[in-house]
Amino acid sequence: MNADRKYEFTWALLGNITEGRPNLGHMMRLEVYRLMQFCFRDVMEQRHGNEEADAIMYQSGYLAGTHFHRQLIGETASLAELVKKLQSTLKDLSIGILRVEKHDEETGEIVMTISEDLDCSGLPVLDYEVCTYDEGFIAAILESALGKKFQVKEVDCWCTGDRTCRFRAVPVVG
Amino acid sequence: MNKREALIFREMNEHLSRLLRGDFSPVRPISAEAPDFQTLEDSIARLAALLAEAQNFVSALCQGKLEMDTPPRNPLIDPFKQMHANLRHLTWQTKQIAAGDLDQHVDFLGEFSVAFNSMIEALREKRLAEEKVLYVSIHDPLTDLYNRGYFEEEMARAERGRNFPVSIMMADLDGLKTINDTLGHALGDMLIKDAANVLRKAVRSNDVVARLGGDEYALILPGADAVCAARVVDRIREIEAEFNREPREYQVRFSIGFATSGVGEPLVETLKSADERMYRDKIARKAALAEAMVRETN
Repeated sequence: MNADRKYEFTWALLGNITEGRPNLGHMMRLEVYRLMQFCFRDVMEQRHGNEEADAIMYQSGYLAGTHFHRQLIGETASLAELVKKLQSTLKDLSIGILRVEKHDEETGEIVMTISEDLDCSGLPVLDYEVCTYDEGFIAAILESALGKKFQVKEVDCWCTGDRTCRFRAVPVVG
Repeated sequence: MNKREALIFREMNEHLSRLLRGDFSPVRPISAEAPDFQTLEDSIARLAALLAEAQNFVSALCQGKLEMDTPPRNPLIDPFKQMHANLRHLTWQTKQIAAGDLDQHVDFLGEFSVAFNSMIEALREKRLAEEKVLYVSIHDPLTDLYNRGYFEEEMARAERGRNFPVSIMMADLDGLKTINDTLGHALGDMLIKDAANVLRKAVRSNDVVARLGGDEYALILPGADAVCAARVVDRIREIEAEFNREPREYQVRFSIGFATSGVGEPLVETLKSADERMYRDKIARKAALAEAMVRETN
């Protein structure tokens, strides 16, 4: 561990919630999560600009996705098995409803949608996609499960007027 | 309203009427003549573009062209985009089912979901029934070991395969007839089952253990040379002895013979040799037993 770092992420940092919140438990209102996420994003944009803020969100999602896969998904033998586990885990944790629309065996391209997404469903239409964190999250999960790097781009989002978020994952060549 | 404004309104009205008739051709620009109407003109132009896009999308959807990309930022077609997403996911699910994954479940298409899920359930039941039939067709019902048919198929497969040497072992249960005659067939059946378990415990997961019928068992040991096969015999003897240490009305005792085949040697001949050696073992065991009984009597 880097000595200069105060909060290098480990799963243990999430703490023992059962012990720590005997009365309030694991749940909280989604607005609170969004309040934190969008305030973080606001400050990052102010300090680093929009492009860098996006990159930070993507990288954060990637880090979260890597740990999420290791802790909650585990090894899977195929994309179908991964999707099945991921669908039930995302639903159980109220993160969103995952569906796969396409898997091109030749190019490796995967198109998936997430409805009722934690980050954006219900947000005002802003005319640009906002789920950058999700992009990194999905990229990390695909990479951890399938053993190759993916670049993930959100192509439809609640914030662009769609009812579901659509992500296109393309294997990174080279 | 002055004459010029009335003319522009008539023009706008004509644009809207064309849109309502399904004519989404571009709007003739009039704002150069009337800058006050720029916003209205832009809105009509945007509406025409969205409607044209919607018409193309919905037409393609009706023709089942699910591979098309959905037009972004077009609120007029939101429900159709949802349907498009549903159908694309359903297509993916159907491909998964075709590949053998019968755990798929549809819950987003109303009555169709119910019908689709019933179909999957029927496929699951059919698969279970087929698996059951297959199981019954290749297993011995009494011992759950493979049956003669499967043993012969596996022997042919082993002969075509690359995992040589292959050892074939014959194991014949001693004294089954006596147990059947003196203690009854129910106990005889128990002996057959216990004997099967002794063999099952002695082999690797990729070995084939079969009951050929009556008191006759046979084993295929792929990749096992004579030394390995001899070790399997030792393991059978150990497990057999351990089983027999428990007081029961019967004991498991096998006469065993094996032979090993190299590449290109027909396994039928190997089986024959194993069978001959098993009979020699049986004769020797009988002789040894008779000798022991004589010694005991004296």
